[in-house]
Amino acid sequence: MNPALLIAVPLLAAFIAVMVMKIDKVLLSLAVLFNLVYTVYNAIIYTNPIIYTIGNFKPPFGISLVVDGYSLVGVILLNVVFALMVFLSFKLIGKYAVVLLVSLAALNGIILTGDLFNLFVFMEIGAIAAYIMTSMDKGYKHTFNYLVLGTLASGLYLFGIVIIYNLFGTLNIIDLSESIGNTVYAAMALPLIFIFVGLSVEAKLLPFSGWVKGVLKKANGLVGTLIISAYATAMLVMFGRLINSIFILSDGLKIGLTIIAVLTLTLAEAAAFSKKNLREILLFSSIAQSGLVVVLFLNGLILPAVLVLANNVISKVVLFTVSAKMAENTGSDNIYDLKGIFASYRCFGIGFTVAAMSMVGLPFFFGFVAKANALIGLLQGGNIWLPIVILLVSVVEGVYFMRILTNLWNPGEEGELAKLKDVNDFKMKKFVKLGIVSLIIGLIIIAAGILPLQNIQKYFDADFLSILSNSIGGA
Amino acid sequence: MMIQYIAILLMLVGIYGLLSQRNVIKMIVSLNIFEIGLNVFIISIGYVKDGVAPILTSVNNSSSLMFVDPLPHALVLTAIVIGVGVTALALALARKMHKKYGTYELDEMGGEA
Repeated sequence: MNPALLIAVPLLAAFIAVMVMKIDKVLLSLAVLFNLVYTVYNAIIYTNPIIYTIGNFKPPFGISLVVDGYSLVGVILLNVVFALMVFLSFKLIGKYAVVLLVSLAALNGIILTGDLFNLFVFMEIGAIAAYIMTSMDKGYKHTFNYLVLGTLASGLYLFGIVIIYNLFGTLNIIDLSESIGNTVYAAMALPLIFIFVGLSVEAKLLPFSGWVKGVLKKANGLVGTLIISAYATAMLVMFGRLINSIFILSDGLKIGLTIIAVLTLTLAEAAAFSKKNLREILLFSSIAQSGLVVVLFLNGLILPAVLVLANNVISKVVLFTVSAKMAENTGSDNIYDLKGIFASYRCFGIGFTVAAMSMVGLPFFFGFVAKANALIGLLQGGNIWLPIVILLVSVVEGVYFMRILTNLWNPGEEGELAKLKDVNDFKMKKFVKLGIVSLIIGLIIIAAGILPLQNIQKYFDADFLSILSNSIGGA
Repeated sequence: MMIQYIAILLMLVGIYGLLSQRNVIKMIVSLNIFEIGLNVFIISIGYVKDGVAPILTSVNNSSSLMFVDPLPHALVLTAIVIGVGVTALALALARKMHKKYGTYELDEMGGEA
């Protein structure tokens, strides 16, 4: 496999699209399709990890891309989500195809890169694309807020990695993890905090996620799924890589970060519970899920964390796109204004319901597998409090998703049988494609909830560092 | 080294500006001050006392000389380019905001519809 193609093809397409504006959407579709097919094909034939050195400059001198089972699962998830998003919201793309291509290249780069400074560059490219995309709905004030926060955060990240460079003389992640070994360095606390803050803004952890509400409250399906699903995938997968295979956190730091992540989980679920607008509920729910994923990564549960992440991002594609579509057609996304809409439009109603049930984690849905794995892993690690917290917030999550579903399915008063006169005429337009795709995703979520997990296990078995360490050159 | 304290001071000035100013242009300037402080800090990392430039010339043609570390310079070059890109985008946004609200003051813009 040549992982550089996943970054180079979208970038090349972006450059051509700038010159030949007429075919920009064709190029976008082709690049997205190429990335999807190429990653899935390579995952099927995957045997052992690859280090791809760009220009044959051996690491740590050159930039390297890392393809192991973990990053392969990450890029598949990312490219599936991206393809779904582009396909579902194709009409909304308008003149932004070039920006989407650049963001696709950057997000693939974030997951694949084997160099901390290269990660910074990809993060900034991705962030600039995100700023442009979020200014699409003319909410410039919120975008500016996001821009300031994002730039400050990536500045702090850069500050952190420069301190690490000063300590260890390298920024290559494999080289770095060999130098660090299993030792806890006291001097690492400060740069790690800076790196954590820098990544938290894009990963949407409290208190660094203040920008999300303003940017996404009125976002359309394209921008919403881009930020909630695609960016969250890339950032959280990289986050897991950093805290699990490179840096060794001291106990104090681990407790501090866990507290932040647990607070994110609980406070964001509480905020979601108190909201009445669909998109606000979904964005707070995404923040909460990011918190949950980080909690799992901090406890070393990589497979459950990726499962929870996959469940969240794929469900959110359906949930957010349907919500934005309904808001676009009816002018509101308040759940009481949309009362009974699914009774008229069953097709995407069922897709939405399956995705919501999977988010809650009911049995027979993929979310159940993810949450069960997470809880079992935490309990096996001797952790009692985290499972209790996760179960409690799952109840809260269940209550607000059930409230959404009962309101959207039942046109009448609560607790009474609906009458025909209660059914509003919502006049949805062009919903057939969305309906069919959400049904298919619903089926996949159910299928993934029933099928066993052994097949995915092989991607997480390989010991990342021991296999890769002999690829380091120079002395 | 003294210059590192100055760099960190510059970064703090930038952060203070971001926190205290409500004018869009002044916030962009603060962001740039922060970035400049950061860049100076990165360059200072590569400093070696009595080091020479890491270039082989007819005067310095031996690799056994004391070189300053060239890698932070390369990092800074990239960081500057990215900083310029972000600043350009921020200024474009500021222009759009001025068109929409007729002011650069965030407080005078009112709530977003």
